[in-house]
Amino acid sequence: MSTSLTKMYIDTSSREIQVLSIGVLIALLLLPQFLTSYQTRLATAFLILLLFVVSYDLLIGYAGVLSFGHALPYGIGAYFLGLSLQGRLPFLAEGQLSFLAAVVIALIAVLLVMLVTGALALRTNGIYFAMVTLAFAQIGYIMMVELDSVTDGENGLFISFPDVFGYSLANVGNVYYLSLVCVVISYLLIRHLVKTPFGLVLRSIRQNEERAQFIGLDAYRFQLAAYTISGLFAGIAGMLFAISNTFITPDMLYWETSGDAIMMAIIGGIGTLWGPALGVAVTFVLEEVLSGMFLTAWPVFIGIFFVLVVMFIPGGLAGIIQNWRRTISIDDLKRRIER
Amino acid sequence: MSSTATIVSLLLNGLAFGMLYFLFASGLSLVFGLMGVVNFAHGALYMMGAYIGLLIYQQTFGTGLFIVAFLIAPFAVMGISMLIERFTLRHLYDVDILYQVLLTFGLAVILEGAFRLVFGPVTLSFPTPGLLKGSISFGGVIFPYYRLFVIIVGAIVAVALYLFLERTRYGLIARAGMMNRDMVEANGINIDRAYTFMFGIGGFLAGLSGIMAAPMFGVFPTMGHDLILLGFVIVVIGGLGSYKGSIVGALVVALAETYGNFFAPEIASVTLFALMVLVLLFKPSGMFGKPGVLAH
Repeated sequence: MSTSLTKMYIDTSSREIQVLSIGVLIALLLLPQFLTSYQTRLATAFLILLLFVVSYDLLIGYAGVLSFGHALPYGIGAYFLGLSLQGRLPFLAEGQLSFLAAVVIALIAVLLVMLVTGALALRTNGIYFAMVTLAFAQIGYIMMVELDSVTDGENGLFISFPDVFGYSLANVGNVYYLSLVCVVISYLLIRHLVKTPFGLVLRSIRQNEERAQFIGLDAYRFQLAAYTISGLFAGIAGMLFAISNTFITPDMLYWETSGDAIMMAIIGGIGTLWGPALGVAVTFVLEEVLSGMFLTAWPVFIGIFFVLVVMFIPGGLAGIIQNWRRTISIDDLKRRIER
Repeated sequence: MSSTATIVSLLLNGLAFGMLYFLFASGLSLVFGLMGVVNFAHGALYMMGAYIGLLIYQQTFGTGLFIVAFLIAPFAVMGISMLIERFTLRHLYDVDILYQVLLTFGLAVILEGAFRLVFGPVTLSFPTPGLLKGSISFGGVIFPYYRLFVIIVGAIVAVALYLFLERTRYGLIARAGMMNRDMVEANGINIDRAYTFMFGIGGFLAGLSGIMAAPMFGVFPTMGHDLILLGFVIVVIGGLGSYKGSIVGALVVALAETYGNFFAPEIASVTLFALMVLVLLFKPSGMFGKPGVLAH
């Protein structure tokens, strides 16, 4: 009866897509040369958000589990990076750690948090899973607020960054290029991942968990792996956010952070990687344009936009483009037959 | 204040909060149990109940008749919920269940944004109604009348709701619709209308808990956030779609909160979630939830 949450992805290896991607990459590489420092900051924020939303899509679109708690790894990554650099973690004095060591600590923290919460949350499914993951992210939020002796609570945490390979992170351009490198590599890794057998297994579990179990695939284990991996990428996005902002607050872990990312992913169209990227771009541009005119009405506007997409174009913008390219997915066919 | 008195007054406070949480969570649980929809906009409906109540309270004949606000606000929210169901949710019953989550989440964003736009982000105070001011005292325990009122209303609603579901034709249709929608329709019953009404009942409960909470917590746009989270914790502990579960879950959560805040304030906020994790470990479907109720 129910149609799956996502569409089949289209083959992105076609020539035009390749040309387009390389074009976009070159444009991104040259971008800071033409921008003011404010605009460069904006572009950096955009890249970070893009990684966060695409990592989310790995979970929702490919593994087919709707987590409402993706803000958790995002915030944990940022906080652990900041705390270890500031010497706020137990047994650490400030300046003891190199930047790379702090990154490793943050990644390990994200890994552990994701494994534990994932192992628990995946005992449930569907709606329960959405609620449980939301609750977990909220625990993280509460902890960052309550442990104010360590995290400075609601006042937020200021982070001073050492130079990395001789480059100062106070320079806007350097931060942009660091983000660009991380985001592009992460994106390519995720893209590779969904094409590997691992990605195929995830999609098969999403389409029919029972059958996948019958042919000997342990759904729980694969979904836990997807949950953890997507969390690691969200953690990287969180770290980049900390680097570019040098100031983080517990709000990073609040459920609105997850909610906004979900909205962008759905508007773009989940189940493809370029869809959510497009969704981020569209919402980002809209927000820039509209918030200048009426800042407070922005949430209402984006909410209405999102609801319309959910109701009338569940494939999102990517779905529209795919239909326009005359690629019809199995799901489309099923939906037509059901009607 | 003797230690017994402390324990008793904490218990009473826990009961008052428990009843409030129950009113909220029962609506969440009911809508899920009967329609299979988890309503992420339930917190926004609760917030609307509080705002509508406050508006009526300020406008009623210049005197602020609480009883008028108390009676009208839940029905107003009920009407709005029925419109929401009719024009948005109804079109999504036959697609993936997760789309309904996304839709109701989007609705929550819209409603909350709209109220913030109109009333601003500030917390508006809702004065305790005149008749319920002051407190009762016995044996060293001091307990506000208003909270007593909350306990009584909660108890009345709990019984009424139970009777409605178990003893009326409507409740029967609702429970049948949960089992087999097509069969209910084949018997000549308009299930669409029943669904709209059910979603309205859920909205009624959200609105009622909103106006009940207003004098206790004040009125502000994000007031639904904390409660929807608590609501989720409650239904995960009690079992989604189980009426008994929402009562027990609400009381467990409220008592854990009240005693926790008193005896161990530094870990209190995490205690609730720890409870939830424990339940998940041992009974993923909740204390009274039916295993496999979510298989779709």
